[in-house]
Amino acid sequence: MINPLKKYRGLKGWTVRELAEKSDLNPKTISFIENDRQKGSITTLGKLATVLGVDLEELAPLMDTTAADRGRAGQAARQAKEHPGRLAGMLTKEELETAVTEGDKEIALGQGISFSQIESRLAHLIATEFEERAAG
Amino acid sequence: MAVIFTTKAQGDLSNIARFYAKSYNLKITQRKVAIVLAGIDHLEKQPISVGLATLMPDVYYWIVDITTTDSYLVYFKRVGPDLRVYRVVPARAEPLTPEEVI
Repeated sequence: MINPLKKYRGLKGWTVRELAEKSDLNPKTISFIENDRQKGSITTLGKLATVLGVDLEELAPLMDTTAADRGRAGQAARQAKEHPGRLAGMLTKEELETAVTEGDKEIALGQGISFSQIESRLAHLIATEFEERAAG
Repeated sequence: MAVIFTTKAQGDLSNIARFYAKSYNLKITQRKVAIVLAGIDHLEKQPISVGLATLMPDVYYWIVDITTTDSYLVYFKRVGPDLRVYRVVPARAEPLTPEEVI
């Protein structure tokens, strides 16, 4: 079976180096993943899927799914090495469970707003900011 | 299928819009905010594969890149076909506590 990353890169007609530049990744990383010498993190594959315009699921066979088994420390170490600033977003399981419970309450209370509503709200907010600036 | 933003996520997006409005002109501000929203819209269309689902049990984060140095973490939970977005925060910010996520 052809490696999906190699397949989608080929369909775009890009070299490894071109894909690396577009996805802000190291060409060696891409080459290793394409040649099944290395699995990719969710972050890496997410970037590649976005640049290639494919669903992340298409690259799922290349994903490193053992990170969860190795525990948070191993995952954190890889994330930290790959994207130092992004480690900040990780929470412990206990922290997440608390967050989800409280979040569900908030949704239940009807304080959510849909995507289309937030789009129009932001458009209005931006327009207002610039109107005020022009008036001032 | 719908994307639902909590009150905090709404505030985050408003702050992001205001931040860009202070730094850029109207066109660039609209473009930057549109990229953030497009990133969240793209996330909603992702089936969320097993690899991501095993990373964290309930709430996950998704990275939306504006540029290589300008990125946001979208904290979300998939509930059936819908997506609940809890926070949209700069990727290089300090870690969030559970209270901050909600």
